[in-house]
Amino acid sequence: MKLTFRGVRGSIAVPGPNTLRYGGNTTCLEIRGDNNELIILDAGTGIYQLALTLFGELPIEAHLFLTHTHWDHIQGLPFFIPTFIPGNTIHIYGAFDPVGQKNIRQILARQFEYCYFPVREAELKATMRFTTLKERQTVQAGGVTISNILMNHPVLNFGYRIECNGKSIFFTGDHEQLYNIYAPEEDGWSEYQQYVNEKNKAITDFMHGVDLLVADTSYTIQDYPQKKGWGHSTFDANIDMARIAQVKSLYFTHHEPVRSDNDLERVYQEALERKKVAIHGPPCHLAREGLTIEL
Amino acid sequence: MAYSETELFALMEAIPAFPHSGYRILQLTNDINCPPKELVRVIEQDPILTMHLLKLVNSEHFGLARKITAIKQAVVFLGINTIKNLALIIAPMELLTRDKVPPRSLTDILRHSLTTAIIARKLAQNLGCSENQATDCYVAGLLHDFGKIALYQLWPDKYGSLLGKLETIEAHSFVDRELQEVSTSHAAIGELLGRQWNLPDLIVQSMGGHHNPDLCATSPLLNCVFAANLIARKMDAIRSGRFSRKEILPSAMIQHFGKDLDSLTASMGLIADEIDHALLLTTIQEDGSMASSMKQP
Repeated sequence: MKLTFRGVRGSIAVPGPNTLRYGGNTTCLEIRGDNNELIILDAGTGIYQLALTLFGELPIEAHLFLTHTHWDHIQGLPFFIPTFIPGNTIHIYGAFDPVGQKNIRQILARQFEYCYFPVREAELKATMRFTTLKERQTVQAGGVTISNILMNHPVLNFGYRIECNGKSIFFTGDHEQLYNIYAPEEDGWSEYQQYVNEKNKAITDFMHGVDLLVADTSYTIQDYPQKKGWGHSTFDANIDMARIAQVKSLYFTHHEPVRSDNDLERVYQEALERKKVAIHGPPCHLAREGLTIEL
Repeated sequence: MAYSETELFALMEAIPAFPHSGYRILQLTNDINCPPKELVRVIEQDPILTMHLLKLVNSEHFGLARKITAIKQAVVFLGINTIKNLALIIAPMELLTRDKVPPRSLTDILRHSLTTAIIARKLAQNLGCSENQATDCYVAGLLHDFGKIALYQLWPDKYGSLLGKLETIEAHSFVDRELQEVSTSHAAIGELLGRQWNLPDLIVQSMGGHHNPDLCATSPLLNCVFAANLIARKMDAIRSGRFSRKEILPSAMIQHFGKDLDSLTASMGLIADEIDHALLLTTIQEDGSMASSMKQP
Protein backbone atom coordinates (compact mmCIF):
# COMPACT_ATOMS: atom_id res chain seq x y z
CA MET A 1 0.00 0.00 0.00
CA LYS A 2 1.17 3.53 -0.75
CA LEU A 3 0.09 6.91 0.63
CA THR A 4 0.68 10.29 -1.02
CA PHE A 5 -0.24 13.54 0.70
CA ARG A 6 -1.97 15.83 -1.82
CA GLY A 7 -3.08 18.48 0.67
CA VAL A 8 -2.01 18.91 4.30
CA ARG A 9 -3.27 22.37 5.22
CA GLY A 10 -6.22 22.96 7.57
CA SER A 11 -9.17 25.32 7.13
CA ILE A 12 -8.15 27.26 4.01
CA ALA A 13 -5.67 26.93 1.19
CA VAL A 14 -2.65 29.20 1.76
CA PRO A 15 -0.33 29.22 -1.25
CA GLY A 16 2.65 31.51 -0.95
CA PRO A 17 6.33 31.78 -0.09
CA ASN A 18 5.75 30.81 3.56
CA THR A 19 4.18 27.46 2.76
CA LEU A 20 6.32 26.26 -0.15
CA ARG A 21 7.97 23.36 1.68
CA TYR A 22 4.91 21.78 3.29
CA GLY A 23 2.30 22.98 0.82
CA GLY A 24 -0.75 25.23 0.92
CA ASN A 25 -3.52 22.92 -0.33
CA THR A 26 -6.26 21.66 1.98
CA THR A 27 -6.78 18.04 2.94
CA CYS A 28 -6.51 15.25 0.39
CA LEU A 29 -4.76 11.89 0.74
CA GLU A 30 -4.19 9.47 -2.11
CA ILE A 31 -3.87 5.83 -1.17
CA ARG A 32 -3.00 3.08 -3.63
CA GLY A 33 -3.73 -0.55 -2.90
CA ASP A 34 -1.37 -3.30 -3.96
CA ASN A 35 -3.35 -3.68 -7.20
CA ASN A 36 -3.25 0.08 -7.75
CA GLU A 37 -6.78 0.55 -6.37
CA LEU A 38 -7.35 4.29 -5.95
CA ILE A 39 -8.64 5.36 -2.55
CA ILE A 40 -8.90 9.09 -1.89
CA LEU A 41 -9.49 10.52 1.54
CA ASP A 42 -11.14 13.95 1.40
CA ALA A 43 -11.48 16.37 -1.48
CA GLY A 44 -9.80 19.54 -0.28
CA THR A 45 -8.00 21.68 -2.85
CA GLY A 46 -5.21 19.09 -2.96
CA ILE A 47 -7.45 16.77 -4.99
CA TYR A 48 -6.78 18.98 -8.02
CA GLN A 49 -3.07 18.09 -7.89
CA LEU A 50 -4.07 14.44 -7.77
CA ALA A 51 -6.45 14.85 -10.72
CA LEU A 52 -3.61 16.17 -12.87
CA THR A 53 -1.66 12.93 -12.36
CA LEU A 54 -4.51 10.64 -13.40
CA PHE A 55 -4.76 11.34 -17.15
CA GLY A 56 -2.33 8.57 -18.01
CA GLU A 57 -4.50 5.89 -16.44
CA LEU A 58 -8.00 6.77 -17.69
CA PRO A 59 -10.59 5.39 -17.34
CA ILE A 60 -10.28 5.27 -13.57
CA GLU A 61 -12.35 3.86 -10.76
CA ALA A 62 -11.87 6.04 -7.69
CA HIS A 63 -13.22 5.55 -4.18
CA LEU A 64 -13.46 8.92 -2.44
CA PHE A 65 -14.11 8.75 1.30
CA LEU A 66 -15.10 12.04 2.93
CA THR A 67 -14.29 12.37 6.62
CA HIS A 68 -16.83 15.22 6.75
CA THR A 69 -18.11 17.95 4.46
CA HIS A 70 -16.71 21.16 5.92
CA TRP A 71 -15.45 23.38 3.09
CA ASP A 72 -11.74 22.61 3.41
CA HIS A 73 -12.47 18.91 2.86
CA ILE A 74 -14.69 19.26 -0.22
CA GLN A 75 -13.54 22.45 -1.90
CA GLY A 76 -11.58 20.66 -4.61
CA LEU A 77 -14.36 18.26 -5.54
CA PRO A 78 -15.89 20.33 -8.37
CA PHE A 79 -12.39 20.47 -9.91
CA PHE A 80 -11.72 16.75 -9.70
CA ILE A 81 -11.49 16.48 -13.48
CA PRO A 82 -12.18 12.72 -13.80
CA THR A 83 -15.82 13.43 -12.82
CA PHE A 84 -16.29 15.18 -16.20
CA ILE A 85 -14.92 12.34 -18.30
CA PRO A 86 -17.16 9.49 -19.50
CA GLY A 87 -15.94 6.03 -18.64
CA ASN A 88 -14.66 6.91 -15.18
CA THR A 89 -16.47 5.65 -12.11
CA ILE A 90 -16.31 7.73 -8.97
CA HIS A 91 -17.66 6.29 -5.74
CA ILE A 92 -18.22 8.86 -3.01
CA TYR A 93 -18.77 7.84 0.60
CA GLY A 94 -19.61 9.94 3.63
CA ALA A 95 -21.77 10.39 6.71
CA PHE A 96 -25.44 11.28 6.95
CA ASP A 97 -26.32 14.82 8.05
CA PRO A 98 -28.62 14.31 11.03
CA VAL A 99 -29.38 18.02 11.42
CA GLY A 100 -30.40 18.67 7.82
CA GLN A 101 -31.54 15.03 7.41
CA LYS A 102 -29.59 14.71 4.18
CA ASN A 103 -27.67 11.81 2.70
CA ILE A 104 -24.21 12.36 1.24
CA ARG A 105 -25.52 12.89 -2.28
CA GLN A 106 -27.98 15.55 -1.13
CA ILE A 107 -25.24 17.27 0.89
CA LEU A 108 -22.83 17.42 -2.05
CA ALA A 109 -25.47 18.27 -4.68
CA ARG A 110 -25.64 21.74 -3.13
CA GLN A 111 -22.06 22.38 -4.16
CA PHE A 112 -23.06 21.84 -7.78
CA GLU A 113 -26.07 24.16 -7.71
CA TYR A 114 -26.38 26.88 -10.33
CA CYS A 115 -25.18 29.69 -8.07
CA TYR A 116 -22.04 27.83 -6.94
CA PHE A 117 -20.83 25.95 -9.98
CA PRO A 118 -21.66 25.92 -13.72
CA VAL A 119 -22.08 22.14 -14.00
CA ARG A 120 -24.94 20.42 -12.22
CA GLU A 121 -24.25 17.18 -10.39
CA ALA A 122 -26.64 15.40 -12.79
CA GLU A 123 -24.48 16.58 -15.72
CA LEU A 124 -21.23 14.98 -14.55
CA LYS A 125 -20.15 12.55 -17.24
CA ALA A 126 -18.45 9.98 -15.07
CA THR A 127 -20.57 7.34 -13.42
CA MET A 128 -21.16 8.77 -9.97
CA ARG A 129 -22.08 6.43 -7.12
CA PHE A 130 -22.93 7.78 -3.67
CA THR A 131 -22.97 5.75 -0.48
CA THR A 132 -24.06 7.19 2.84
CA LEU A 133 -22.04 5.28 5.39
CA LYS A 134 -23.13 4.08 8.77
CA GLU A 135 -20.63 4.01 11.57
CA ARG A 136 -18.30 0.98 11.35
CA GLN A 137 -19.67 0.01 7.94
CA THR A 138 -16.94 -1.72 5.96
CA VAL A 139 -16.32 -1.09 2.26
CA GLN A 140 -14.26 -3.36 0.04
CA ALA A 141 -12.50 -1.71 -2.90
CA GLY A 142 -10.58 -4.43 -4.70
CA GLY A 143 -8.09 -5.74 -2.19
CA VAL A 144 -8.45 -2.70 0.09
CA THR A 145 -10.75 -2.66 3.09
CA ILE A 146 -12.01 0.66 4.44
CA SER A 147 -13.86 0.98 7.75
CA ASN A 148 -14.82 4.00 9.84
CA ILE A 149 -15.48 5.32 13.34
CA LEU A 150 -17.01 8.62 14.47
CA MET A 151 -14.45 11.06 15.84
CA ASN A 152 -14.99 14.38 17.67
CA HIS A 153 -15.66 17.48 15.54
CA PRO A 154 -18.47 20.07 15.35
CA VAL A 155 -20.05 17.94 12.61
CA LEU A 156 -20.15 14.17 12.20
CA ASN A 157 -16.63 13.19 11.16
CA PHE A 158 -15.47 9.71 10.27
CA GLY A 159 -11.95 8.53 10.96
CA TYR A 160 -11.04 5.88 8.36
CA ARG A 161 -8.96 2.75 8.74
CA ILE A 162 -7.56 1.45 5.45
CA GLU A 163 -6.11 -2.04 5.21
CA CYS A 164 -4.44 -3.96 2.42
CA ASN A 165 -2.43 -7.17 2.63
CA GLY A 166 -1.59 -6.79 6.31
CA LYS A 167 -0.66 -3.09 6.11
CA SER A 168 -2.84 -0.42 7.66
CA ILE A 169 -3.39 3.34 7.81
CA PHE A 170 -5.71 5.37 10.02
CA PHE A 171 -6.72 8.92 9.16
CA THR A 172 -8.52 10.93 11.84
CA GLY A 173 -10.08 13.51 9.54
CA ASP A 174 -10.72 16.48 11.81
CA HIS A 175 -10.65 15.47 15.42
CA GLU A 176 -10.33 17.09 18.81
CA GLN A 177 -9.16 15.14 21.82
CA LEU A 178 -12.17 14.45 24.04
CA TYR A 179 -12.44 16.40 27.26
CA ASN A 180 -14.81 16.55 30.18
CA ILE A 181 -17.19 19.53 30.06
CA TYR A 182 -17.56 19.38 33.87
CA ALA A 183 -15.04 20.29 36.55
CA PRO A 184 -14.04 17.34 38.78
CA GLU A 185 -16.02 18.71 41.73
CA GLU A 186 -19.23 19.05 39.67
CA ASP A 187 -22.07 16.54 39.64
CA GLY A 188 -21.90 15.37 36.05
CA TRP A 189 -18.12 14.84 36.01
CA SER A 190 -17.88 11.11 36.72
CA GLU A 191 -20.72 10.07 34.41
CA TYR A 192 -19.27 12.22 31.63
CA GLN A 193 -15.75 10.92 32.25
CA GLN A 194 -17.00 7.36 31.96
CA TYR A 195 -18.33 8.13 28.45
CA VAL A 196 -15.13 9.97 27.53
CA ASN A 197 -13.05 6.96 28.60
CA GLU A 198 -15.34 4.62 26.68
CA LYS A 199 -15.15 6.74 23.52
CA ASN A 200 -11.37 7.19 23.81
CA LYS A 201 -10.94 3.46 24.14
CA ALA A 202 -13.22 2.83 21.15
CA ILE A 203 -11.08 5.17 19.03
CA THR A 204 -7.68 3.86 20.13
CA ASP A 205 -8.88 0.24 19.80
CA PHE A 206 -10.09 1.02 16.29
CA MET A 207 -6.72 2.42 15.16
CA HIS A 208 -4.71 -0.02 17.24
CA GLY A 209 -1.36 -1.03 15.79
CA VAL A 210 -1.70 0.70 12.41
CA ASP A 211 1.51 1.19 10.45
CA LEU A 212 0.67 4.80 9.88
CA LEU A 213 -1.54 7.22 11.79
CA VAL A 214 -2.32 10.52 10.07
CA ALA A 215 -3.75 12.92 12.63
CA ASP A 216 -5.29 16.39 12.65
CA THR A 217 -2.69 18.43 14.52
CA SER A 218 -3.80 22.00 14.10
CA TYR A 219 -2.68 23.31 17.44
CA THR A 220 0.18 23.55 19.86
CA ILE A 221 -0.61 23.22 23.55
CA GLN A 222 -0.13 26.99 23.73
CA ASP A 223 -2.78 27.57 21.02
CA TYR A 224 -5.25 25.11 22.45
CA PRO A 225 -6.87 26.93 25.44
CA GLN A 226 -8.23 29.64 23.09
CA LYS A 227 -9.40 27.06 20.55
CA LYS A 228 -10.91 24.43 22.81
CA GLY A 229 -14.13 23.09 21.33
CA TRP A 230 -13.20 24.03 17.74
CA GLY A 231 -12.69 20.39 16.85
CA HIS A 232 -8.92 20.03 16.37
CA SER A 233 -6.13 18.39 18.33
CA THR A 234 -2.62 19.24 19.48
CA PHE A 235 0.78 17.65 18.81
CA ASP A 236 0.92 16.48 22.42
CA ALA A 237 -2.55 14.91 22.46
CA ASN A 238 -1.84 13.04 19.23
CA ILE A 239 1.48 11.68 20.51
CA ASP A 240 -0.38 10.42 23.62
CA MET A 241 -3.12 8.87 21.47
CA ALA A 242 -0.56 7.24 19.16
CA ARG A 243 1.25 5.70 22.14
CA ILE A 244 -1.96 4.28 23.64
CA ALA A 245 -2.97 2.87 20.25
CA GLN A 246 0.57 1.52 19.75
CA VAL A 247 0.76 2.82 16.19
CA LYS A 248 4.03 2.35 14.33
CA SER A 249 4.37 5.90 13.00
CA LEU A 250 2.55 9.21 13.31
CA TYR A 251 2.13 11.94 10.68
CA PHE A 252 0.89 15.35 11.75
CA THR A 253 -1.39 17.08 9.26
CA HIS A 254 -4.06 19.83 8.99
CA HIS A 255 -1.36 22.43 9.58
CA GLU A 256 -2.66 25.78 10.76
CA PRO A 257 -2.99 28.19 7.83
CA VAL A 258 -1.19 30.95 9.74
CA ARG A 259 1.84 28.74 10.40
CA SER A 260 4.80 29.35 8.09
CA ASP A 261 7.09 26.41 7.19
CA ASN A 262 9.69 27.66 9.67
CA ASP A 263 7.15 28.09 12.45
CA LEU A 264 5.70 24.66 11.73
CA GLU A 265 9.10 23.01 12.05
CA ARG A 266 9.80 24.92 15.24
CA VAL A 267 6.55 23.98 17.05
CA TYR A 268 6.96 20.40 15.82
CA GLN A 269 10.48 20.14 17.24
CA GLU A 270 9.36 21.65 20.52
CA ALA A 271 6.56 19.09 20.84
CA LEU A 272 8.91 16.17 20.04
CA GLU A 273 11.33 17.33 22.72
CA ARG A 274 8.60 18.02 25.28
CA LYS A 275 7.11 14.57 24.76
CA LYS A 276 10.55 12.88 24.55
CA VAL A 277 9.61 11.22 21.28
CA ALA A 278 13.25 10.30 20.56
CA ILE A 279 13.15 8.01 23.61
CA HIS A 280 9.53 6.87 23.85
CA GLY A 281 8.44 7.05 20.20
CA PRO A 282 6.55 6.60 18.06
CA PRO A 283 8.44 7.95 15.03
CA CYS A 284 6.76 11.25 14.17
CA HIS A 285 6.75 13.29 10.96
CA LEU A 286 5.19 16.39 9.49
CA ALA A 287 2.91 15.59 6.54
CA ARG A 288 4.15 17.37 3.43
CA GLU A 289 2.34 17.90 0.15
CA GLY A 290 3.68 15.48 -2.46
CA LEU A 291 5.31 13.15 0.08
CA THR A 292 4.79 9.46 -0.70
CA ILE A 293 5.14 6.71 1.88
CA GLU A 294 5.36 3.08 0.82
CA LEU A 295 4.22 0.49 3.33
CA MET B 1 -72.44 31.59 25.96
CA ALA B 2 -68.73 32.07 26.46
CA TYR B 3 -66.91 30.19 29.20
CA SER B 4 -65.93 31.98 32.37
CA GLU B 5 -62.24 32.16 33.27
CA THR B 6 -62.74 29.56 36.00
CA GLU B 7 -64.36 27.20 33.51
CA LEU B 8 -61.53 27.78 31.04
CA PHE B 9 -58.88 27.11 33.69
CA ALA B 10 -60.62 23.86 34.53
CA LEU B 11 -60.58 22.90 30.84
CA MET B 12 -56.89 23.77 30.52
CA GLU B 13 -55.87 21.15 33.01
CA ALA B 14 -56.07 18.78 30.08
CA ILE B 15 -53.32 20.78 28.30
CA PRO B 16 -49.72 19.87 29.10
CA ALA B 17 -47.43 22.22 30.98
CA PHE B 18 -45.36 24.66 28.94
CA PRO B 19 -42.00 23.21 27.95
CA HIS B 20 -39.79 25.96 29.31
CA SER B 21 -36.75 23.95 28.23
CA GLY B 22 -37.59 24.59 24.57
CA TYR B 23 -37.67 28.34 25.23
CA ARG B 24 -34.41 28.14 27.20
CA ILE B 25 -32.68 26.26 24.38
CA LEU B 26 -33.65 28.96 21.90
CA GLN B 27 -32.21 31.58 24.25
CA LEU B 28 -29.04 29.65 25.08
CA THR B 29 -28.15 28.91 21.50
CA ASN B 30 -28.11 32.64 20.70
CA ASP B 31 -24.68 32.66 22.24
CA ILE B 32 -21.90 30.94 20.32
CA ASN B 33 -20.12 30.50 23.66
CA CYS B 34 -23.08 28.88 25.39
CA PRO B 35 -21.59 26.49 27.96
CA PRO B 36 -22.13 22.85 26.87
CA LYS B 37 -23.02 21.74 30.37
CA GLU B 38 -25.83 24.32 30.59
CA LEU B 39 -27.31 22.96 27.36
CA VAL B 40 -26.99 19.41 28.70
CA ARG B 41 -28.69 20.44 31.96
CA VAL B 42 -31.68 22.00 30.16
CA ILE B 43 -32.15 18.97 27.91
CA GLU B 44 -31.77 16.47 30.73
CA GLN B 45 -34.39 18.25 32.82
CA ASP B 46 -37.01 17.71 30.14
CA PRO B 47 -37.85 14.03 29.72
CA ILE B 48 -39.81 14.53 26.50
CA LEU B 49 -37.08 16.57 24.83
CA THR B 50 -34.56 13.97 26.00
CA MET B 51 -36.66 11.18 24.56
CA HIS B 52 -37.05 12.94 21.19
CA LEU B 53 -33.34 13.64 20.99
CA LEU B 54 -32.36 10.08 21.84
CA LYS B 55 -34.84 8.73 19.30
CA LEU B 56 -33.35 10.99 16.68
CA VAL B 57 -29.73 10.04 17.39
CA ASN B 58 -30.59 6.35 17.49
CA SER B 59 -32.52 6.47 14.21
CA GLU B 60 -31.44 4.07 11.56
CA HIS B 61 -30.37 6.84 9.17
CA PHE B 62 -27.92 8.15 11.69
CA GLY B 63 -26.22 4.78 11.62
CA LEU B 64 -24.42 4.84 14.97
CA ALA B 65 -22.57 1.68 15.88
CA ARG B 66 -23.63 2.00 19.50
CA LYS B 67 -27.01 2.67 21.07
CA ILE B 68 -27.07 6.01 22.88
CA THR B 69 -29.06 6.02 26.10
CA ALA B 70 -28.13 9.29 27.82
CA ILE B 71 -27.67 12.92 26.80
CA LYS B 72 -24.13 13.18 28.20
CA GLN B 73 -23.25 10.07 26.23
CA ALA B 74 -24.77 11.62 23.09
CA VAL B 75 -22.58 14.71 23.59
CA VAL B 76 -19.42 12.60 23.92
CA PHE B 77 -20.22 10.33 20.98
CA LEU B 78 -21.65 12.91 18.57
CA GLY B 79 -20.17 16.18 19.74
CA ILE B 80 -21.85 19.14 21.40
CA ASN B 81 -22.44 21.03 18.15
CA THR B 82 -24.46 18.20 16.61
CA ILE B 83 -26.54 17.85 19.78
CA LYS B 84 -27.04 21.61 19.94
CA ASN B 85 -28.28 21.73 16.36
CA LEU B 86 -30.58 18.74 16.87
CA ALA B 87 -32.01 20.36 20.01
CA LEU B 88 -32.65 23.48 17.94
CA ILE B 89 -34.81 21.49 15.52
CA ILE B 90 -36.74 19.86 18.33
CA ALA B 91 -37.20 22.92 20.56
CA PRO B 92 -39.67 24.94 18.45
CA MET B 93 -41.75 21.91 17.64
CA GLU B 94 -41.75 21.05 21.31
CA LEU B 95 -43.11 24.48 22.17
CA LEU B 96 -46.01 23.88 19.81
CA THR B 97 -46.84 20.26 20.34
CA ARG B 98 -45.36 17.68 22.60
CA ASP B 99 -46.29 15.01 20.03
CA LYS B 100 -43.38 14.33 17.74
CA VAL B 101 -45.69 13.50 14.88
CA PRO B 102 -48.53 16.02 15.07
CA PRO B 103 -51.99 15.09 13.80
CA ARG B 104 -52.64 15.93 10.16
CA SER B 105 -55.21 18.59 11.01
CA LEU B 106 -52.56 20.58 12.88
CA THR B 107 -49.95 20.55 10.11
CA ASP B 108 -51.13 23.84 8.62
CA ILE B 109 -51.16 25.55 12.03
CA LEU B 110 -47.64 24.29 12.77
CA ARG B 111 -46.33 25.50 9.43
CA HIS B 112 -48.04 28.85 9.87
CA SER B 113 -46.68 29.20 13.42
CA LEU B 114 -43.12 28.37 12.37
CA THR B 115 -43.37 30.70 9.38
CA THR B 116 -44.68 33.52 11.59
CA ALA B 117 -41.88 32.86 14.09
CA ILE B 118 -39.13 32.98 11.47
CA ILE B 119 -40.58 36.16 9.93
CA ALA B 120 -41.11 37.86 13.31
CA ARG B 121 -37.47 37.23 14.19
CA LYS B 122 -36.34 38.59 10.84
CA LEU B 123 -38.47 41.73 11.23
CA ALA B 124 -37.03 42.27 14.72
CA GLN B 125 -33.48 41.87 13.41
CA ASN B 126 -34.23 44.33 10.60
CA LEU B 127 -35.49 46.82 13.19
CA GLY B 128 -32.14 46.48 14.99
CA CYS B 129 -33.47 44.59 18.05
CA SER B 130 -30.99 42.57 20.15
CA GLU B 131 -30.64 38.81 19.55
CA ASN B 132 -32.56 38.09 22.77
CA GLN B 133 -35.42 40.38 21.72
CA ALA B 134 -35.41 38.74 18.30
CA THR B 135 -35.64 35.32 19.98
CA ASP B 136 -38.61 36.52 22.01
CA CYS B 137 -40.24 37.66 18.77
CA TYR B 138 -39.56 34.19 17.38
CA VAL B 139 -41.15 32.52 20.42
CA ALA B 140 -44.10 34.93 20.36
CA GLY B 141 -44.61 34.18 16.67
CA LEU B 142 -44.39 30.48 17.37
CA LEU B 143 -46.98 30.70 20.14
CA HIS B 144 -49.35 33.37 18.79
CA ASP B 145 -51.86 30.76 17.64
CA PHE B 146 -51.22 28.31 20.44
CA GLY B 147 -54.84 28.83 21.50
CA LYS B 148 -55.86 26.99 18.33
CA ILE B 149 -53.72 23.99 19.24
CA ALA B 150 -55.18 24.05 22.76
CA LEU B 151 -58.76 24.23 21.47
CA TYR B 152 -58.01 21.39 19.10
CA GLN B 153 -56.69 19.30 21.99
CA LEU B 154 -59.90 19.98 23.92
CA TRP B 155 -62.34 19.36 21.05
CA PRO B 156 -60.52 17.55 18.23
CA ASP B 157 -63.64 16.87 16.15
CA LYS B 158 -65.55 20.09 16.53
CA TYR B 159 -62.53 22.42 16.40
CA GLY B 160 -60.72 20.28 13.84
CA SER B 161 -63.51 20.77 11.34
CA LEU B 162 -63.50 24.53 11.99
CA LEU B 163 -59.72 24.58 11.39
CA GLY B 164 -60.33 22.90 8.07
CA LYS B 165 -62.25 26.01 6.96
CA LEU B 166 -59.68 28.45 8.37
CA GLU B 167 -58.49 29.81 5.05
CA THR B 168 -61.96 30.55 3.76
CA ILE B 169 -63.24 32.46 6.77
CA GLU B 170 -62.42 36.14 7.34
CA ALA B 171 -60.30 36.73 10.45
CA HIS B 172 -62.96 38.59 12.43
CA SER B 173 -65.68 36.08 11.61
CA PHE B 174 -63.36 33.17 12.47
CA VAL B 175 -63.42 34.37 16.07
CA ASP B 176 -67.26 34.50 15.89
CA ARG B 177 -67.28 30.95 14.59
CA GLU B 178 -65.01 29.87 17.41
CA LEU B 179 -67.42 31.42 19.92
CA GLN B 180 -70.34 29.63 18.26
CA GLU B 181 -68.63 26.26 18.14
CA VAL B 182 -66.56 26.12 21.33
CA SER B 183 -67.72 29.16 23.30
CA THR B 184 -64.29 30.77 23.48
CA SER B 185 -61.59 32.05 21.12
CA HIS B 186 -58.04 30.96 20.43
CA ALA B 187 -56.80 34.39 21.47
CA ALA B 188 -58.60 34.26 24.83
CA ILE B 189 -57.43 30.78 25.71
CA GLY B 190 -53.94 31.47 24.38
CA GLU B 191 -53.59 34.50 26.62
CA LEU B 192 -54.82 32.57 29.66
CA LEU B 193 -52.39 29.76 28.98
CA GLY B 194 -49.50 32.16 28.47
CA ARG B 195 -50.30 33.81 31.77
CA GLN B 196 -50.63 30.49 33.55
CA TRP B 197 -47.27 29.42 32.14
CA ASN B 198 -45.65 32.62 33.42
CA LEU B 199 -44.39 33.61 29.99
CA PRO B 200 -43.01 37.14 29.56
CA ASP B 201 -45.82 39.73 29.47
CA LEU B 202 -45.28 40.73 25.86
CA ILE B 203 -45.50 37.14 24.66
CA VAL B 204 -48.74 36.69 26.62
CA GLN B 205 -50.12 39.92 25.13
CA SER B 206 -49.28 38.78 21.64
CA MET B 207 -51.00 35.43 22.24
CA GLY B 208 -54.16 37.31 23.20
CA GLY B 209 -53.94 40.41 21.06
CA HIS B 210 -52.32 39.46 17.78
CA HIS B 211 -55.48 40.45 15.88
CA ASN B 212 -55.66 43.86 17.56
CA PRO B 213 -53.57 46.43 15.65
CA ASP B 214 -54.08 49.21 18.21
CA LEU B 215 -52.64 47.08 20.98
CA CYS B 216 -49.85 45.83 18.73
CA ALA B 217 -48.67 49.34 17.92
CA THR B 218 -47.46 49.65 21.51
CA SER B 219 -44.30 47.52 21.28
CA PRO B 220 -41.83 46.29 18.65
CA LEU B 221 -42.51 42.66 19.62
CA LEU B 222 -46.28 43.00 19.18
CA ASN B 223 -45.75 44.91 15.96
CA CYS B 224 -43.44 42.24 14.60
CA VAL B 225 -45.79 39.38 15.46
CA PHE B 226 -48.81 41.22 14.03
CA ALA B 227 -47.04 41.92 10.75
CA ALA B 228 -45.39 38.49 10.65
CA ASN B 229 -48.79 36.84 11.01
CA LEU B 230 -50.08 38.72 7.96
CA ILE B 231 -46.93 38.09 5.91
CA ALA B 232 -47.06 34.38 6.82
CA ARG B 233 -50.72 34.19 5.72
CA LYS B 234 -49.82 35.78 2.42
CA MET B 235 -46.94 33.35 1.94
CA ASP B 236 -49.07 30.36 2.96
CA ALA B 237 -51.69 31.41 0.41
CA ILE B 238 -49.11 31.84 -2.37
CA ARG B 239 -47.51 28.49 -1.55
CA SER B 240 -50.74 26.51 -1.43
CA GLY B 241 -52.45 28.41 -4.25
CA ARG B 242 -55.46 28.80 -1.97
CA PHE B 243 -57.88 31.67 -1.69
CA SER B 244 -56.20 34.53 0.08
CA ARG B 245 -57.99 36.85 2.45
CA LYS B 246 -57.37 40.54 1.87
CA GLU B 247 -54.84 41.43 4.55
CA ILE B 248 -54.23 45.04 5.46
CA LEU B 249 -51.27 46.37 7.39
CA PRO B 250 -52.35 49.46 9.40
CA SER B 251 -50.68 52.67 8.29
CA ALA B 252 -48.91 53.14 11.65
CA MET B 253 -47.16 49.82 11.06
CA ILE B 254 -46.29 50.67 7.48
CA GLN B 255 -44.57 53.70 8.95
CA HIS B 256 -42.93 51.64 11.68
CA PHE B 257 -41.39 49.15 9.23
CA GLY B 258 -40.96 51.65 6.42
CA LYS B 259 -42.66 49.24 3.99
CA ASP B 260 -46.16 48.10 3.06
CA LEU B 261 -47.28 44.48 3.30
CA ASP B 262 -46.24 43.54 -0.24
CA SER B 263 -42.75 45.04 0.11
CA LEU B 264 -42.31 43.46 3.54
CA THR B 265 -43.32 40.07 2.14
CA ALA B 266 -40.92 40.48 -0.78
CA SER B 267 -38.12 41.55 1.58
CA MET B 268 -38.28 38.21 3.40
CA GLY B 269 -36.44 36.63 0.49
CA LEU B 270 -36.24 32.89 0.26
CA ILE B 271 -37.14 31.55 3.65
CA ALA B 272 -38.84 28.39 2.36
CA ASP B 273 -35.73 26.31 3.12
CA GLU B 274 -35.61 27.62 6.65
CA ILE B 275 -39.28 26.77 7.16
CA ASP B 276 -38.87 23.28 5.70
CA HIS B 277 -35.89 22.72 7.93
CA ALA B 278 -37.89 23.81 10.97
CA LEU B 279 -40.60 21.35 9.95
CA LEU B 280 -38.14 18.47 9.58
CA LEU B 281 -39.21 16.88 12.80
CA THR B 282 -42.76 16.48 11.55
CA THR B 283 -41.39 14.27 8.78
CA ILE B 284 -39.61 11.94 11.18
CA GLN B 285 -41.73 8.97 12.09
CA GLU B 286 -42.06 7.25 15.44
CA ASP B 287 -39.36 4.71 14.61
CA GLY B 288 -36.94 7.49 13.72
CA SER B 289 -37.21 6.98 9.94
CA MET B 290 -38.27 9.80 7.66
CA ALA B 291 -41.50 10.33 5.77
CA SER B 292 -41.35 8.95 2.24
CA SER B 293 -40.60 12.26 0.51
CA MET B 294 -37.35 12.57 2.45
CA LYS B 295 -36.07 9.03 2.01
CA GLN B 296 -32.70 8.38 0.44
CA PRO B 297 -32.70 7.49 -3.23
